[in-house]
Amino acid sequence: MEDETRNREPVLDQKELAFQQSLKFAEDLAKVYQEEKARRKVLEGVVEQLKHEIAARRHAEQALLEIHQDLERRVEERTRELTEANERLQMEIGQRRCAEERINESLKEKEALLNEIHHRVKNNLQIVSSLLALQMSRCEDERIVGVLKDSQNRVRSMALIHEQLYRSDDLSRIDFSQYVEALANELVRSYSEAALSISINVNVEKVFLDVKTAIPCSLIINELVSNCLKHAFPGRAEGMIAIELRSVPGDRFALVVTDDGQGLPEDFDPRTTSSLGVRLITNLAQLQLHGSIEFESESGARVTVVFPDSGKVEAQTIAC
Amino acid sequence: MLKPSILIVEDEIVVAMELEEKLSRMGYRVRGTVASGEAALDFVETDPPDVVLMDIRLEGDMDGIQAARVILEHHNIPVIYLTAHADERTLERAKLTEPFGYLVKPFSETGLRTTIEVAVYKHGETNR
Repeated sequence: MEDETRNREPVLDQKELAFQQSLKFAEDLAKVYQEEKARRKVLEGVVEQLKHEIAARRHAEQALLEIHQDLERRVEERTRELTEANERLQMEIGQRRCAEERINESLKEKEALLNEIHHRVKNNLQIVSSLLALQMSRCEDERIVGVLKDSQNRVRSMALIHEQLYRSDDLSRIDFSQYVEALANELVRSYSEAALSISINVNVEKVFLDVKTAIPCSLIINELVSNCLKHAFPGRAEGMIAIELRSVPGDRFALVVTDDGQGLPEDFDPRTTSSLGVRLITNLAQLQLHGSIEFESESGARVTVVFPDSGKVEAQTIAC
Repeated sequence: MLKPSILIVEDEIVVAMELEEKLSRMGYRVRGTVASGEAALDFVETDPPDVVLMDIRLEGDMDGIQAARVILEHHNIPVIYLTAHADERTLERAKLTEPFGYLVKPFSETGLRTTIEVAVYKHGETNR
């Protein structure tokens, strides 16, 4: 019995073992299943996540596409606007160029006209000068001849200004050094006497004066040099006249006319003299050039006129 | 010796009158005064002077330089230009016509006499 039992036991054990194994297998299977289930769930989650991401990416791509399209549309629109603006600018540039050409032409015409006007003024003054000369030639009274000659020279000094103006590139200002040289030569020629040899020494800086300053300045020089030629050298064989114009501090010019003649009369007083020449000089210097005048008499006569540079004064006024 | 006869070509008649008087006082015979290049050509055709004093800027289509060229080439009369201080371009044009002298306005008697006498002398030498 015991043997039987002993013999049965292994059989039982084997069955039990098989059962246990089956159970273990089933449990393992269940575990694997559970694990697979969990893994599947995870995978399903991942797939779901991926689906979301894909959808999001598609959405983003779509948005990007839309942005891209919008950008392209805006670029096109901007390009069109720029093209139109460019065309407008080109047209405007063309119009401005035309206008500029018209302005330049008009400027040239006006310059030519101004040149012609200066030429006409010079010619008219020349006619006045000739009329005075014609009158002079019919006059026997030396005193009247002298008066007419003085008047003729005043007119000539102004004609010379206009002559220099139409010859100058600027048309509004003249090179005064050239002018003084020409004026001095004309005056010496006009008052020349066979017995008197005059040397004129012109020392004028290269300054450009506008008409407003040049005319009174020329009349002053005309009067001063004429006075020298008429009164400074009585009974003399030769004489020297010097004309100097230079810049002085304070944006001013100093005009100095000297001679080595007999000097001014002892009782000479510019404030009381009845001489038209001296009154012209004084009034033009003080009232028109807004300057000062000084008469001196040492070894000959010396007259100094100091006046402001009207060009600089005007520039300062504009700057203010 | 007889002083040369002169034709004045100047479109400013008052200026021409002054010049005419001055020349007459100096003993020159002023044959006439005309105001244009065309009138100058007509004048020298019928009554040729010894010398022509010619203003450069003249009224009419023909300026003094054009008239001077014809007078010199066709009539062999010396021409002296009367100018204000002319511009460079005008002087260059004037030079090409080989004038016998220039007189710059206003004219002094000495300048007039010297220029006219030199012109007449030079012209005589050229024609020898």
